[in-house]
Amino acid sequence: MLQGTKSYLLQDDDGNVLGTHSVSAGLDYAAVGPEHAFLRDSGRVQYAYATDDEALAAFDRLSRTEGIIPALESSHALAEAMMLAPKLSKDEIIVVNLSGRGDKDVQHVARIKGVQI
Amino acid sequence: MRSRISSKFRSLKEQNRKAFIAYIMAGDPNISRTREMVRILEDCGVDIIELGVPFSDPLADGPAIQAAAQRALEGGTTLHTVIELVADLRKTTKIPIILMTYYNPIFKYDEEKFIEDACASGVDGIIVPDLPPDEAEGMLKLTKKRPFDVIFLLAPTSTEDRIEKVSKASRGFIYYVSITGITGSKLALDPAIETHMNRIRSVSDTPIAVGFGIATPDEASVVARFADGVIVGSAIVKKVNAPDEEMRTYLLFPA
Repeated sequence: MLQGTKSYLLQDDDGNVLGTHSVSAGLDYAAVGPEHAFLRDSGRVQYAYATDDEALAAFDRLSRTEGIIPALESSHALAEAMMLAPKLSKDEIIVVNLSGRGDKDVQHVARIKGVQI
Repeated sequence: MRSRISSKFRSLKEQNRKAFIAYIMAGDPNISRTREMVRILEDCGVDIIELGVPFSDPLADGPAIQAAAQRALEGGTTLHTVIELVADLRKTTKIPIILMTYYNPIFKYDEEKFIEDACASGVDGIIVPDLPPDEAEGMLKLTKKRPFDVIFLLAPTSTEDRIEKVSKASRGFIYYVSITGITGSKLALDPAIETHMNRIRSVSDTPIAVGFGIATPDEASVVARFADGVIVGSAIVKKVNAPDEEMRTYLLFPA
């Protein structure tokens, strides 16, 4: 129960909130929105995760192949799509919601890659 | 059954005195210092003790109490250890003790078990800044027949409806937050505060204690003119490691 919401929370046995890390600032939070918790519990949504490296690789791939720079948050979804795609037949369609644009992340990604821009 | 907090306010009223409520962080920097501090506070005429239970995300607290919580957490203080501390303190003192913490540690502990254990150890009440009365149905139900007060907060921004709701729900006393800010902020009393007090008193007989930002004896005496109790927190927390003499001098002035 944090900041007025009841949801899944990264916490210790005494209810203190644990520190978090994510390459994407928007995901660097110890809980998820309660609506997601509800959708998970009701079985309507299956949730997956991606590591920083997987998200960065997906960011790179979409930028190079499509010229679309995805936000680092959405890059996590792309990483999942890239892992899922080889398991599906050619006719099956995957839709990824690019919830944000990556222009805001370009400097951050350059720093991580050690690129001067 | 009347709680120790209500009894205290009642006897102070008979003597035409106001309550001095002191806040300290349990386990800052360790439990044995807290034990000493409780003794010093009681010796110096403090009427009610508010024991902070450290939490990682203390949304109502300013830098002094945040730092105290951090020290207490590093020392391994938890809601469990604070309840044990109160059980131990109860061997030597009857001073009313209120816990102040946030809802998640209680939720994780299990609300029902928490009330059970807190009452058994001799805790007299609780303040949970992130638990408004609208969400406190469970806790109010669990404590209804016990001498255990659930204390709610009002602020200068509270609307008429909130004042009525909170004033009626709060037990022991009503915690009036003097400023729109965090603990330890500079005190700047809203001129409307006295009007607010009158409004609260028109809907409830529960005593009103004012806290947040009260650091000096002068500030305390201004507040004591219209409130039933004065809560001092950050100013005491900052002195937790000061020599006992300095602490006593600060607490005893002006008495």
